[in-house]
Amino acid sequence: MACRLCEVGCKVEHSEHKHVIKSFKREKPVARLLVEESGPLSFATQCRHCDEPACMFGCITGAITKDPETGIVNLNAEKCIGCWTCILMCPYGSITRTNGARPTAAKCDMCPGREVPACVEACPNRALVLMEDEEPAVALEDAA
Amino acid sequence: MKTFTYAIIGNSVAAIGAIEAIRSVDRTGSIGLFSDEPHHVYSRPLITHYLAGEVSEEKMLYRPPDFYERYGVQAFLGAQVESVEFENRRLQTAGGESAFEKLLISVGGRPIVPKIAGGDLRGVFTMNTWDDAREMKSYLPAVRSAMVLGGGLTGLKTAEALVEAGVRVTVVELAERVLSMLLDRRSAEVVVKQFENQGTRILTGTTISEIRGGECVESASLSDGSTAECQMVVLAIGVTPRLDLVQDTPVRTNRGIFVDRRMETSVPGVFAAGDVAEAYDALLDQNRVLPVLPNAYAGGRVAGLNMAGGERTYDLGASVNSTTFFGYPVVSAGSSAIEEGAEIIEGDDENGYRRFIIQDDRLTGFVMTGEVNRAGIVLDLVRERIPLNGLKDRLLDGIGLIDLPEEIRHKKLRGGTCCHEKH
Ligand SMILES: Cc1cc2nc3c(=O)[nH]c(=O)nc-3n(C[C@H](O)[C@H](O)[C@H](O)COP(=O)(O)OP(=O)(O)OC[C@H]3O[C@@H](n4cnc5c(N)ncnc54)[C@H](O)[C@@H]3O)c2cc1C
Ligand code: SF4
Repeated sequence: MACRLCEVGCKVEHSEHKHVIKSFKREKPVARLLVEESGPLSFATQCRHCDEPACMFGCITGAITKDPETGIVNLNAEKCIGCWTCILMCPYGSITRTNGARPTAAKCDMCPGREVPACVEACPNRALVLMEDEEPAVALEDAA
Repeated sequence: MKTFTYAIIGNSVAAIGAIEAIRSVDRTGSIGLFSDEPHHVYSRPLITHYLAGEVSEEKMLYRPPDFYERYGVQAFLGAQVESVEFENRRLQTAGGESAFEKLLISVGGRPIVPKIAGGDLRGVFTMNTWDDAREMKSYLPAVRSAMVLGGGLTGLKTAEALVEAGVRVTVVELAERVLSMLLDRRSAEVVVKQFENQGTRILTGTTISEIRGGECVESASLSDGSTAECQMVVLAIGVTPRLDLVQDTPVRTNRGIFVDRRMETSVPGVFAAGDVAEAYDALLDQNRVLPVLPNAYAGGRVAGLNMAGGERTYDLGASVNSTTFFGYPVVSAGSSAIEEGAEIIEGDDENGYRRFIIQDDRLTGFVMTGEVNRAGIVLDLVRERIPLNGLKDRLLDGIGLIDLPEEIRHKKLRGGTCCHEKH
């Protein structure tokens, strides 16, 4: 239904203040997932934590790694120099850029430290679910 | 003499792709890694950022310091392989001889050094290794202005770094435009503008005819007759595959080492990947030398999986480039440089310049500058040869998954692996 509360939840979770008002007022956080909308159709898209992540294959600095235990594809912003090769490589369009003087790439990290990712928790419709069978990923219950 | 299940020559991106792939299926086979450079594996594209002083020693590393240990790799750093006996499966370094069962040649390219009078003066550099960047960096205190010969990616990234280090830079390019392999005239102008905004001159259609000075570089003369004072000249006219190890051997070469879709050379059990290889370009459906990092990793990975007994084909090979100039993003892919013989859609607004090349209702290449988010969805249209139909009119606004044909969209929304990796 495209209420975009998942985007809000994601932004707050990945902000310094972790508070909806403070985060939005004092920072310019970016959401690592995106709700796409066209007419009656809408869905949320985010990193699939691929088996064979093209973003990681292409990362020129080694900032992107795939955790062999959890399967999560992580992006180390400290190492990132913002060349955007990963954005070109990702067929899902699931990597974005942070705001600020030294922008870096940013993507879904499955919210480390949380039992349920912020986007899933924020979804009033329970349309987003956590899938853990093969690759970890947040997925739509009923992909449009 | 030590025998390795897997020997790898060259310690860079393709080598790492292979090692990570081998270890995903074979935890015990021995791996010997031979490198003439003495360093732990580092990111080659970062050398210009190192020169500019933006990246620390530690952040130069492409993989963590304990990588070789964790992956069970015996690394011989500073050990150049002098020769390979392909029939006997042996290789020689100054330190001795090793035997191997499977071999990966991932020795990359070497800079082409043009013959120019004065090319041996102090202050003339090439830019291909971390040590090149270190030497240039320590020479910088003597440099007020520099001339960079070559307006390709290496030349322009080096020019950018020198500007950031406070040097006055002139770029000299023989072709009629910069980045002529990647960009058409209009997009090349967008790049030139970023340099001009910094007060950097880019001269096209000319070259350096002579470098002058006593012991050190003092000036350079151009083929147009002009002379400019400078204390540094960087030669960056291109790289060529390092073929010395395979010259006069059964390994088939053309412009690079010719490999099949499995990344195997004409000698069974001997593989090649990265900048040295002439491998399959999935967009053009023919073999080509495509010296960019994503291809080196993906090709090395396919080689590694096959060396470890798998059956994989390389289908990620493509002309793909993404970089920034003074923070301004420039992305190109596929047939991005062509000027005619195709339908071209272009747009130029506050979000940047965009150009889409369409042949037979399929997107075959594109350039995006400025706003580049979701460029990967566009690249996938090229890779998957998706008929554009109505999509054509939407290209300039930015394509989302929602715009894709239903069947493809479904696959993508459900998919858990990168969709073009076919299993
Ligand atoms: C300045 C610069 C900027 C770049 N920027 C980008 C970019 O933004 N994006 C991008 O996609 N690509 C970029 N590239 C290209 C990218 O660096 C290469 O495509 C990539 O490094 C190729 O990896 P490779 O595995 O083929 O080997 P290479 O990185 O070429 O390394 C090969 C290694 O093998 C060693 N070797 C050679 N012969 C022997 C021997 N006989 N014995 C032992 N060792 C040997 C070499 O010394 C070298 O260390 C850039 C390159 C340069 C120079
Ligand atoms: S933008 Fe950052 S994470 Fe993405 S490829 Fe470049 S260095 Fe790697």
